[in-house]
Amino acid sequence: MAEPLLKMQGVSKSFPGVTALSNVDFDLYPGEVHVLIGENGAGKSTLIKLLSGVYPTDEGRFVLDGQEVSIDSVRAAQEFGVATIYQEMNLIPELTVAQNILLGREPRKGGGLLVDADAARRQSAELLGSLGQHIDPDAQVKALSVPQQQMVEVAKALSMAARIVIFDEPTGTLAEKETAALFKTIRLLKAKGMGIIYISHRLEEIKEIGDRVTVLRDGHHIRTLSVAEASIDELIRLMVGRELKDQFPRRRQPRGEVALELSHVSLQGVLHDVSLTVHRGEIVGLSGLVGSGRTALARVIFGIDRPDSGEIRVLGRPARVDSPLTASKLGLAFLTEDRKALGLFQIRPVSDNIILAAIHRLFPRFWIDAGRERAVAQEFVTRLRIHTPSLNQLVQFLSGGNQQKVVLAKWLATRAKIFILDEPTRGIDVGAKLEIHRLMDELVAQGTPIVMISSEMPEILGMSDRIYVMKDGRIGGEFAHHEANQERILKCAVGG
Amino acid sequence: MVRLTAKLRSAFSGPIIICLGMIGVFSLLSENFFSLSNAVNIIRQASVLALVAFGQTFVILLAGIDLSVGAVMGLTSCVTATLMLKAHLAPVLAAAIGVGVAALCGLVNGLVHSFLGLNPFIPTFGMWGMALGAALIITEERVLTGFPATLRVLHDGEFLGLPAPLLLVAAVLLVLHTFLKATPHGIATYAIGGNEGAAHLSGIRVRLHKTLVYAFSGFMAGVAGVLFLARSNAAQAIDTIGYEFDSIAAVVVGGTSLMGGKGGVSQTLIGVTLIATLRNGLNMVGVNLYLQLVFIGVVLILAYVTENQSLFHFLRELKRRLFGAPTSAEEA
Repeated sequence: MAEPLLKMQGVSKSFPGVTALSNVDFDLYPGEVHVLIGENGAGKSTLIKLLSGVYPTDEGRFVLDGQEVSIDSVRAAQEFGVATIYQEMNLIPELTVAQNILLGREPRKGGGLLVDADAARRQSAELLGSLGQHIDPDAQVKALSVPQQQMVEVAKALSMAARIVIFDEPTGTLAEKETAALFKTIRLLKAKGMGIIYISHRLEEIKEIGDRVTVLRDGHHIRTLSVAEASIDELIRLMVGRELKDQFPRRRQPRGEVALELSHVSLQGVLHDVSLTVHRGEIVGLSGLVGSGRTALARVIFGIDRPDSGEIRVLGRPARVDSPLTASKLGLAFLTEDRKALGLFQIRPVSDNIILAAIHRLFPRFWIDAGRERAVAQEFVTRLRIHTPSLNQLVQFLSGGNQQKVVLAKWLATRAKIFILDEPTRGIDVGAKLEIHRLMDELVAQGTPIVMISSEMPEILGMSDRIYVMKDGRIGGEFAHHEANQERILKCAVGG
Repeated sequence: MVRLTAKLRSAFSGPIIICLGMIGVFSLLSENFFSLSNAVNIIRQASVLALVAFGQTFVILLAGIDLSVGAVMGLTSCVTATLMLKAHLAPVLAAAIGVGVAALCGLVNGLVHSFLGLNPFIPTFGMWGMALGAALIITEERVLTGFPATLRVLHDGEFLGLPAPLLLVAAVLLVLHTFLKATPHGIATYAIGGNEGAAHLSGIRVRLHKTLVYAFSGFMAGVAGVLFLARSNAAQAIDTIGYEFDSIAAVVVGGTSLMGGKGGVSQTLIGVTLIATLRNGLNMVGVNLYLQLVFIGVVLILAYVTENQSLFHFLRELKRRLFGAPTSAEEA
């Protein structure tokens, strides 16, 4: 076998109170995709941040091309040829494509004082062209779609003459077709002899794109194995350290009366004549590409945006849902896709977050009874198995899965009658995912219907009783649980 | 084609239309307003604000704010005047030291903000107090006069028939515009304001850059302070208080986003012109000073909301937000 491009040996890193990585080995060969998996908090992000110079390393050796190096800054990592494409996009929306690609490394003219904009444009176009992309180098990045922005990031990596490219959950916000395009690009980079480190929560992807896979758990290296010999079940077992029987626990319920009904709802430019029904005792999946109007629909149901026309009936009665306040009074609950920004008060304790939406129901008089607050919060912490050292823990320090449970608890405390969940398990590790799915099943078993938006096909297929597929702001198709499969849904979503 | 219409649209954005409208109204109300001599007068008045607002533009492009500039201008003019009067320094040398002091104030702002990680409101607000206090101590709370008139040429002078402050502002504008649009440091300024984390991950020295921008804002406040001294021919610590707000208003009305990463010095010039024209016109028409403040407040807000949308569109949107679109559910 060829010499490894990169060898990391005995790497350790601690943060105050936490050991993030302990004695981890990792290597990467030219022309391979090495997948890094593990639950949230397993140390994947820390490992790549050490390699890209964001954090200093406590202990361990980095050997690049047989040379021991020390990576002590972002600049140093770039000079060693390490480029990272982070999960949250790291482009500057107001700048142009060319300015972003060459940011900090602009070609100069006029004795090095001025940016040579023509050269920058030309170089960017060439880099994008080598990826098979035809993106205008003068376009502002904010005007590009998410996959296009990702290609700009890849071009940026190429412009640094990177030999190691790290992808941190690149497909989290991509729909299937866009993912295929990204994989094509990754194969292109492989063929150029680059080493790719690929982080993902989507285990199905590993088979498709990976050569080797390394599993981390609790900051330790668990195993490195070739993709060919790894089964998804085994990877899950290695990640969580225990067997997970069924990813999608569903007990099918008889369908009850109609709980939510939309007829001919339109919102200019976003939704066109959308009609759907949600019955008690069922999970209705909303599938479709990113931008097909799924979230827009949820926003209209919850009163954040007001439709131009159409009717919404909640629990059999026509409802004028004109604000989130009215929506929650009608018994609706909305778990947003962006729980960090919109679902939680990060710097408040767990107890406050659970109580907050139900505060008027629980404490109709002016004063808040601290004892009662704790009792109610504790009840939900126990019931939803929220792992927190105490009720006083600030929400920002909980894992993604536990944060999501806190949001669920918040709405359960309001005694909501209809739940709208937008990407309920995005960015959550497998173990916590299963627990969220169990909770959803429990809710439905008690008769509370759920509308679930999800970009993950297995989740849509595994959890839903009925599936609506959205395309360009319209309902493109409706499938019952037993007649749905990946192919039919995809066909409907991309409009074959 | 699309670009051309977009350019035309932005050329006739709210602030410019408001500016043209004001010129029309003032010209009708006051026979002296629409004249060459008054135009030159407005330019002279606007030049001080333009210089300090250019510095402020850089800070706001970083999503920061510099509240110290008004007091720092005062400190500069007081230091310069004191050096001429008491130390009998040559006016040019005195002015250079005054500007140096201002740049130092800005540097301190930048260091405290970037390296201690404080919100810029705090260090620059603190610096406002320190600079004002220092200026009051130096001048013993008096108005300083009776120094050589050499510096007046900056304000009163003419070159090729054009007023000196106009030439100064034009030259500074040209340099700064080029710096922002065509140098790596200019792009870095937009990048930091647009997404600081991403700029850092792209290998830009974010803290150093921010520190230098605050130092530059101090420097520009110093230059504005010297020009102010040249105009008034007297130095007083509190005379320039208020320029911090005018400069922020000029930047924002011009179209530089308080969120950072968007805007530029040429836009700021529009904001400066609007404010200077409004002040001058209200004076010419004889509106009393307090009523002027009310007018200015209203026009600033109006200019801001109409910046990216037409007035008509704004009113329609306002109506939609307040009353909502009718749904058939209501009729049912």
